Amino acid sequence: MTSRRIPNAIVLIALTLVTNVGSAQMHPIRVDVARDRVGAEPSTFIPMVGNWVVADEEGKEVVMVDGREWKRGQPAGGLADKARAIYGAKHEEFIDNVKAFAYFPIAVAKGIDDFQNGEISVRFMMVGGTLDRCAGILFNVKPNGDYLTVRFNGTEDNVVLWTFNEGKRSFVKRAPENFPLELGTWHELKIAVHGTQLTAFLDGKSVLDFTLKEPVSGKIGLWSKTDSMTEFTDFTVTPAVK
Amino acid sequence: MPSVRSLAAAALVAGFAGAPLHAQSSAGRCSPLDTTAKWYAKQRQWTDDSKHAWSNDSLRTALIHAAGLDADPNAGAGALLGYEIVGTTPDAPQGDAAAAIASLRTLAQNRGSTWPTKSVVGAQGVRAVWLLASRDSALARVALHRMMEAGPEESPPAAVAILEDRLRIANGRKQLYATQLVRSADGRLEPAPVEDAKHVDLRRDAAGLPPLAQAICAAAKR
Repeated sequence: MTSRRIPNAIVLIALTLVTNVGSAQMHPIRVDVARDRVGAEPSTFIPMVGNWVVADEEGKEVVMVDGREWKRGQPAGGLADKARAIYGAKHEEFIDNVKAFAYFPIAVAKGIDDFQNGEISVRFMMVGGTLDRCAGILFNVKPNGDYLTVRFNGTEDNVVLWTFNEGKRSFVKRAPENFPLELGTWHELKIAVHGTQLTAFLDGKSVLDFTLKEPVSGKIGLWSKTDSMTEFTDFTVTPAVK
Repeated sequence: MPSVRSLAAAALVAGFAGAPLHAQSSAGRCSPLDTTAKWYAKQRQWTDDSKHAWSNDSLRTALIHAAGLDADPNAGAGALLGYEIVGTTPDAPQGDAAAAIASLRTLAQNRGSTWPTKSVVGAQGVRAVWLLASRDSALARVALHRMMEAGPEESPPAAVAILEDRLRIANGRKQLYATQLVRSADGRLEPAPVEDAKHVDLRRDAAGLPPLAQAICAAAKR
């Protein structure tokens, strides 16, 4: 069972400055919650929809989307302030679209304003969810609330790319193989973006390739669905040289 | 393949307001049923049919009759404690029950059809569908899918959890909520194999079920 610990709200975005001269990779950026208070909202992710908290998993602070109190159409508390904080004057359109997508909990990573090329990876552990057991990488988040996600769904055992545009969710592509993953076990989901080329990986294995209509450009974060209870850790962004 | 014995009883229905709560309060070492607990309130709220807010009364009546819930006014009205004892074959459905099961299976095959959820047949009608599904594995599979699709306002998460566990065990998989109990060699009741046992009470809480220890204790007292 996930336990709760004593407050210590300090934001940590660990910038590991690993410069590979001559490589296409830039500095990996690890979005961490190690110094956050367990039980509180993460300070390095901004919850827009759903209940996102810092949880203690065997002594390590992780981000958990807790679907136990999920209600249809209910954005996270303080959505207007959060949207204003990241999109300023354009936040109202963002709010309208986020409310349309309130079926899907999302949390936007702080400090990464425009991811275009490179890799995003996260380790996830499905804990529960009566209707859904999902873990996804959110990317290409636009000021109007449109976004893309590559997600694993533990009730369907598959990896799928979805697009969310102007209040409508559209299926894009499903990985051809199914992956029955057990609850309570850690797995890694990763995407690699190079221009319009998108590749998704599950546990290091390339599972899905797709050519997007236009290059990626936008905020990134974590994605989930309805009442999923999923833990996330080691969210790492490695931008690539343009 | 294991099946489930006497589901209506084995799932243990402890009455809501007005009905006796002796299932645990008189059970010695079992802690009393906490009617202030969140899981209990969640189930109680879900099963409230007092507003008569369902759209198909004739279907509701037919389902309740087919499931045998009309024979006892208190049947199906209580809280699910979240256990079933795996082991013996359920009674083969006959008469109205068999006909209702066949109708529900046909309905499920029609993708655009309206499934009998809470807004259609009320909480008692949904309980009737769930009980009928317990007697037919093919119906159970499609009912689970439809219930999950409909969401927690339309399908009781506790019943969905029990149904999913039942199907997983029947298919040789580990269960998620530890609702399926088996007898150990020394006669004690214990859960059939559970996936990610560490978080089982978290999942039970999410589904609106009491902690596993409470369910096992209640099951042992039956």
